[in-house]
Amino acid sequence: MTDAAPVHNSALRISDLSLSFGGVQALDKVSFRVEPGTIHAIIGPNGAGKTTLLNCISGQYTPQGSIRYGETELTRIRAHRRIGLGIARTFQHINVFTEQTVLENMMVGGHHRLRRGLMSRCLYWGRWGCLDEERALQREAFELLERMEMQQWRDLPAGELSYGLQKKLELGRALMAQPGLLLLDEPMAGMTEHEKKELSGWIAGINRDEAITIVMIEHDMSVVQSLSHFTVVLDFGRKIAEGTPAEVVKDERVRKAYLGED
Amino acid sequence: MDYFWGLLINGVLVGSIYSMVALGFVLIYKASKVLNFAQGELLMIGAYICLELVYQLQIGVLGAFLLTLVLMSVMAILIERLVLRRMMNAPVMSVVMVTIGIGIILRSIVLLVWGPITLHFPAWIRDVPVDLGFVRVSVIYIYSFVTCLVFMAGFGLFFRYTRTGLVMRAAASSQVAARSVGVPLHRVFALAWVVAAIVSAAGGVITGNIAGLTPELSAYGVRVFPAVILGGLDSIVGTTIAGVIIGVIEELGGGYLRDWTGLSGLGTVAPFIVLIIILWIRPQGLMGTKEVERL
Amino acid sequence: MKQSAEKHTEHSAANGLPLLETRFERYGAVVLVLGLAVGSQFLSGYYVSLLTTITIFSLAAMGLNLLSGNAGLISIAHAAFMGVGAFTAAWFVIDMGLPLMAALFLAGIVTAGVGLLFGLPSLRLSGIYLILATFAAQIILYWFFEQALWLTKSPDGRPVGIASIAGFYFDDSAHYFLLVLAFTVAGGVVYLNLLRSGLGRSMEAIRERPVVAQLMGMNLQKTKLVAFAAGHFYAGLAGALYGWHLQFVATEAFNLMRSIEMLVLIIIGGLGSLSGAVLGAIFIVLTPELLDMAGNRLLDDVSVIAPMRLGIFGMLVVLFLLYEPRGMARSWRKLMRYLESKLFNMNSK
Repeated sequence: MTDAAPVHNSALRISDLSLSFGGVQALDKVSFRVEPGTIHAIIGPNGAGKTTLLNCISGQYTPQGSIRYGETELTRIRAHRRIGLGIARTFQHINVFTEQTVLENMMVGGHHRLRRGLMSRCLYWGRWGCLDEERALQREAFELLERMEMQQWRDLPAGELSYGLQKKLELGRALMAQPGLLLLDEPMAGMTEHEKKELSGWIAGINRDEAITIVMIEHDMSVVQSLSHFTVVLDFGRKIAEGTPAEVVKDERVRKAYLGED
Repeated sequence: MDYFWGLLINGVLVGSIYSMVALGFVLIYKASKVLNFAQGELLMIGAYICLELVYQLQIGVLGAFLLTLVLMSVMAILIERLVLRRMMNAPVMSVVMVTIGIGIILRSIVLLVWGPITLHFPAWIRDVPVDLGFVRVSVIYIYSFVTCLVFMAGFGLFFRYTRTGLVMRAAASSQVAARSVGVPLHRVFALAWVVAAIVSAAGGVITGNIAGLTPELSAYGVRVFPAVILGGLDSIVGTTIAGVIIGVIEELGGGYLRDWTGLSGLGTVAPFIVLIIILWIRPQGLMGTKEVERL
Repeated sequence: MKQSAEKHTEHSAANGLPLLETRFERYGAVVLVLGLAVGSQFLSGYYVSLLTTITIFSLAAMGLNLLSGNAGLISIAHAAFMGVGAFTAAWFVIDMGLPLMAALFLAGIVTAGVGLLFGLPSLRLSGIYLILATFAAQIILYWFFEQALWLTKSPDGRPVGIASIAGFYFDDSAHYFLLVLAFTVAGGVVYLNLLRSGLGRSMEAIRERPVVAQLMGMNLQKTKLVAFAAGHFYAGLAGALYGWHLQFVATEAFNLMRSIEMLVLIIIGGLGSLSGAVLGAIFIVLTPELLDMAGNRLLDDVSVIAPMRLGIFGMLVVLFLLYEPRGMARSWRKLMRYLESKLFNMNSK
């Protein structure tokens, strides 16, 4: 953990991604490319396949087609190994571990970097114990919590936090993985305007300072326009448009399929 | 050869009781995802209640049997209402434990009221053997087998043709779907418990008539597990077939395997060995839905 | 990470997660263990025997708690696995001539192996299947104990004599209690270590949100396997210690009812915590003793004591699950926090 954060300059290339659930075509030959270091927004009406797409990248579903991250074909990698490649995510519905403390939740995020085996965990202390890596992980969590201004809730069970803070904690947990690619599923949903503003600043910050590539699903068009460099529009599992946010909102089909609904 | 036929007939009879009891077990599981560990105790107490009614009211075994079914339904509704409904959102472990707790209470009641000794129903059928051509069978076996068939056929028709039955099937296949079309789930759960209590009590009375009553009757509850796994945890048809198979395995296992291996008790253990093997090779059983953890 | 390493001096030092949460518990645990070690030497045989049983059950319960409370893998065969440990250890010591310490350790390993054999197929299935698989394990193993006379000598069990280590005979039950206490304290420390390490976090994560846990890089199957092996190691060790406590490995001590009692123990005590294992063990050992005592005083007909005891036990199980489903450990923790704030507030701030 003391080694420098890995340099992330991998592009994400999605080509001809298709997935159907018992006759329902959730994704239909979706292709696009995410350049390293950019923020990519995925928009579209409910049921357009946005979350399904994210689930394919993070590994809950096995789609047809190809998802390449850098040189690696992700569809061949088992879900629990993908975080080791630098892919972390948050969820649409809150998914923190409610009974564990905020600190423990954060440490879960860095779990994939732990190397010690069962024996050293039994011993914990001493030369053969796992205390060294536990401490390193804990220190990282302390620092990140401080940067996120959440240190005062550190020892509280995560379930006792407010909704907005739980969302933020989930983002923190994903960052603990030291990702190169961060998948965010409606990170602002249900937040107050003030919280949204704060979180937007945060996301822009980690993208800029730590060069983390971000793919996010978002409904709030003002957030999309201010944050994202590039936008993909899905409707009924198909990509109907892509481009800069400014280009996309002008697109005729997008206005009809999506913005018209609002 | 008579030995073989004797074991086989016994196996089919015991198996049909298993099938009937398993029906209740699977129904509760399908309706509410509860593993009912008290099923055997329901069977046991049903038999004792029937026995008590026979001796207290002097209304004959048949009348007492019908009254027992009514009383057992009331008890099932009480159990569902007072205990299980409050645990609808509790973790699996708690629900399993609560059914074990209920089972223990029922067993202690039987021990306190009737004691551990073996009791017998009055002889109400003259036990004449019936010649089936290839083997002679005690008439009480025939009665028992027919009773099981009647009960299962009855519930089969109930699920197929009555509105309540259809609602229960809907709820069992998808709780979410059932809720969205406005089926009151707790009523479905209660009904599942009633059916379970009825089939168990019937099984208890039949077994009690053949072999007498002891608190050990409750063992029937857990001996249904292998049938349930073999048939497929969520398949009523599968468990019905599997019940008979397990009954036959038990009897033949108890008979032949004991003679071959010199080990006693193989009959009761063999089905559980089958259970483990099925979990190894085909966890969904004969006819259940394949459900393997994703990823 | 490097540049920020210096400025962390501000916040509290990262020393790993604490073994016990409050200072009161930490001091309390030391006082309790020392008190038991010394006090037990002055007690009569009956009380030493009760203490030994409670301590052994605590150790066994830690294993079951790790398995069922923390990892969410419900086993209804814990007593049978204790039996595997007891008979294996007896076999290693008496038939193979191994020293006791080696036999205890090997008994744990063998039990873990047998546990995997039964649990392995259902680890990919939902918990319901594991309950049924372990139930089958209970039936099969118990039958095995009754039949495998090369191992168990008689269907009722086998005598094992007095425990001895390096020529020292634990012929005084109070001395044997010290051995049991040492193992249980070590087991408790290891249990807490596992819980506060990555393994503990991944077990909790897998129980609470398996999908998220997986995406956090946790291997579901591997974690369950480790929990299964570790939990059954405890069972084997505790079972072996129980054998030498009674000086007779009794088959009946490992029946289905005992397995149910072990589950009741961790639920009433508190799932997933050390205090739960200990409080539950006290409850499960003392309740029947107290009920027997009360029964002998109050009832003329002694034959109803056993069924009454059974009924009250069943009722307690149902009532606990309805009204205190999280067990005694939660109330215990509240009490500890309260005492902490009362006793240590002045000098901590």
